[in-house]
Amino acid sequence: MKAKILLVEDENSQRLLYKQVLSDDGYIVFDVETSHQAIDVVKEHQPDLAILDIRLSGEDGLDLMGQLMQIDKNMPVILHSAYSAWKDNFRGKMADAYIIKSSDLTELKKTVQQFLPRNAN
Amino acid sequence: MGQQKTVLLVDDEQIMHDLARAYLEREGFTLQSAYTGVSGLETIKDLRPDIVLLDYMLPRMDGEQVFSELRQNPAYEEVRDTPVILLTARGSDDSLKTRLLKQGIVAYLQKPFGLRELSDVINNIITLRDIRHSHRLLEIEVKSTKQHLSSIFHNAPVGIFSCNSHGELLQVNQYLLQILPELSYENQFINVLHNEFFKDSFFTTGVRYVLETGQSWKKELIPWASGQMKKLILNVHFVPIQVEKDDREDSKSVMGIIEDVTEWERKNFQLKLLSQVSSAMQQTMGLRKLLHLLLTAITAGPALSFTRAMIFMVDETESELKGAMGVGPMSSEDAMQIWNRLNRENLNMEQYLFNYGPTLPGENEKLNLHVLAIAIPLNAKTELTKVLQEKRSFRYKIDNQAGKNDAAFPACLNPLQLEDFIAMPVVANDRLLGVIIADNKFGNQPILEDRIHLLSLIASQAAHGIEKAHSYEQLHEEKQKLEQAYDELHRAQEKLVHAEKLAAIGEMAAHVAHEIRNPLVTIGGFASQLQKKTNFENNETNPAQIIADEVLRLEKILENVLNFTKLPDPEPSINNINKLIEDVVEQIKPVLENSEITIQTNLQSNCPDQYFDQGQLKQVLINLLQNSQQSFEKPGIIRITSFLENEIVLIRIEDNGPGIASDMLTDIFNPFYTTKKHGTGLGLAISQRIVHGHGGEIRVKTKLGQGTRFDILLPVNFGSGTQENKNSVVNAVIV
Repeated sequence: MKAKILLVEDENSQRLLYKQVLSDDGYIVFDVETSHQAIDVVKEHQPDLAILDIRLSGEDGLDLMGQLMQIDKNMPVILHSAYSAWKDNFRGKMADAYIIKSSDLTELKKTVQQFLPRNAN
Repeated sequence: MGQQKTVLLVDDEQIMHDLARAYLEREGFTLQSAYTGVSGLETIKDLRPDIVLLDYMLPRMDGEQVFSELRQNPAYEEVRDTPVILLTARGSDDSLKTRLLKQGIVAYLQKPFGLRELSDVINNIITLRDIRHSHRLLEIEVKSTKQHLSSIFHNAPVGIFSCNSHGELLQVNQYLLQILPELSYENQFINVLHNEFFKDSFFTTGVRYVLETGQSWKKELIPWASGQMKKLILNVHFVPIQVEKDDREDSKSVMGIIEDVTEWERKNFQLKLLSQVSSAMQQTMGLRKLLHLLLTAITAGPALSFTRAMIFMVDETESELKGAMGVGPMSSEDAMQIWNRLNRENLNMEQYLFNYGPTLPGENEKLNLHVLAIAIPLNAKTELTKVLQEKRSFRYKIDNQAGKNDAAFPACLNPLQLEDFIAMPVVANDRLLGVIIADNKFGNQPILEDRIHLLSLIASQAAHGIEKAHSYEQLHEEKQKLEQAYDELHRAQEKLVHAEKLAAIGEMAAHVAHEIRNPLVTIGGFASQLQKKTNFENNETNPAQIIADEVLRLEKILENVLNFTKLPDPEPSINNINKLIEDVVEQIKPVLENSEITIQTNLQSNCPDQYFDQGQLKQVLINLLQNSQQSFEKPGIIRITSFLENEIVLIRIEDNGPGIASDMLTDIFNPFYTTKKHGTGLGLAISQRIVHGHGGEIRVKTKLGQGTRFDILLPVNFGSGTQENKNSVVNAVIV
């Protein structure tokens, strides 16, 4: 059974990129744009991992992380941001991992593998 | 002849009485009668007739005997001069007549004589007698007038003299002799024109002028020091006079009036002094000038007749009473010299007070030097500190033989040779400023009560002046501090403006960097994906790979920009700079060797362990080494040296590369300045800020075509104390 990943990213091209990369690695990716959609996915599909962008248009990824943790406190959350600024934020520290966005996707892929080793190729 | 004259007839014949009475009473005379010589004498004595007619032929005592009795018997002294006319019937006896006239008989009438003749003689004699009498009165009057004039002359409150055309003094009054005792020598008046003491003095000048021109000569306020060093101020007025003498009818001579106005001038001077000191104290002037003015005022001129004045000031920081200035002589020779000089210069008060040159006179005089050497602790129990504490003046008389080493007058005062002096406190608004000492050493005048009073007035004026000068000096200091602060502020502001510029650039850069970063992630990410999915032959470069690499490089540039704008404070820990250099060299060596660059190190072991942020300094070293490496166009050498000097560790990185053009040198530390194709222009800017953040400095020296040398100077004591050691420039720039 393939592991399920929730991907929250408001920028279309990036969402497409991550979805493709993660799908290539053999995960089922639920990609959404908004917090609202993200909560629906968690409730409906109980994903094994969530990857959240922090700066969502009009919304806050950190807030979303809090809400998701209330629904499923066992689900690991990776914060994914262009900024390092939240890394040391106390809420940022609640995340299981903090990855700074880069065109080099090696780190993202490695981290996902750490949390979902069953899918390691 | 106003009242009736009485005539006494002494005759023994009644008829003579009857005839004389009838006639003389008609002529206006009163006739008295006596019939014998004895009764005649008694009548003369009792009734004092104006004239006596004496018959020669009298019984028992003849006329000659009566007359001789009248003249010689002391009993008739008071009437001895009564004129007597002798009447005789003895024919013309010339020898008798001559004898009697010689004895003093005023007239001699021979009987028989006409009554008319008698009355003429009587009238003549009475007239003569009246003339004589008035002559005598005149003589008495002349004599008394003479005495009166002489008394006026000698007792006049001005000096008066006269002298002849040769300069010989004829008359000198007592007053003048008191002022100028030198006018008389061994009870003889001198000749003023030929006297050594008065040579070239106002006296000879004046007398000579009057004799030569016949005009009067007048001069006021002449300072004069008599032989006893007594200072006088004189007003003199010499006039020509004509003395009529028997032998030389119009002999020229001179009369002079000399007035001693010393006391008057002293009062005048005192008033002027007070008003001038007071107005001087209103002005703003330096403390030293003010003190000098004060001491000059006390000693100069006749106002106070002090010869020496010194001032001691309270030094609050040292808690001492310190000698500040002294004016006056240190010996009687000094005193003579000063007094002569002042006499010669003949300065007035204003000149005394204000016309000294750029250097204060007396600065190097002995008294001043002695005073400057004196310091008495304020808590010492001395008379001077007592004056200050009790805020009132004291008069002291010290016996110099006995008083030495006395606690009341500490030994440091000995060089001043104080004997009889005033010590006066200088107090302004209850603030104790100092003590003035004034004495009359080497002057011959006593210290008088009114002078002490004047001194206290001047001291109180001075106190306010000194207080003002103090405040003025403080104000001046404050002003300088302010100016300094302003300069610093100005510099800080310039720095801040510079920093703000950088900050604005940084902020903008950060914003742009983030905005660019997002699309780069997508581009690079998809390029990587594309690369995986497209198959190229082994040796052919995948274009997607190129895109991905270039994007990665762009991202690195952006990271640098972001790092620059938010360079964190250094986090120092104990490290050793040589260890760090070795690590970096080890790390960078392969890269350098590829570029055929040799790296040499010369690290002195005296570099101590010190606090620094290892990560940040590593970045600095790598930046500088990379710069150097990238500048080489051909094989070269990089040399790294380290050593300790004056608590500063110096790291020197020098190469024999192409060097930097001097016009670019000023820009190399500016952010975003670069000469490299692929540079961000941030390497040196970041390096500089890191070094500044460590309280250090980075310096560059270069010569085109010969090479470049960077010196990093790091203070050894950085970070060993508190955070404040860190340079704030870096903090100000961080966004």
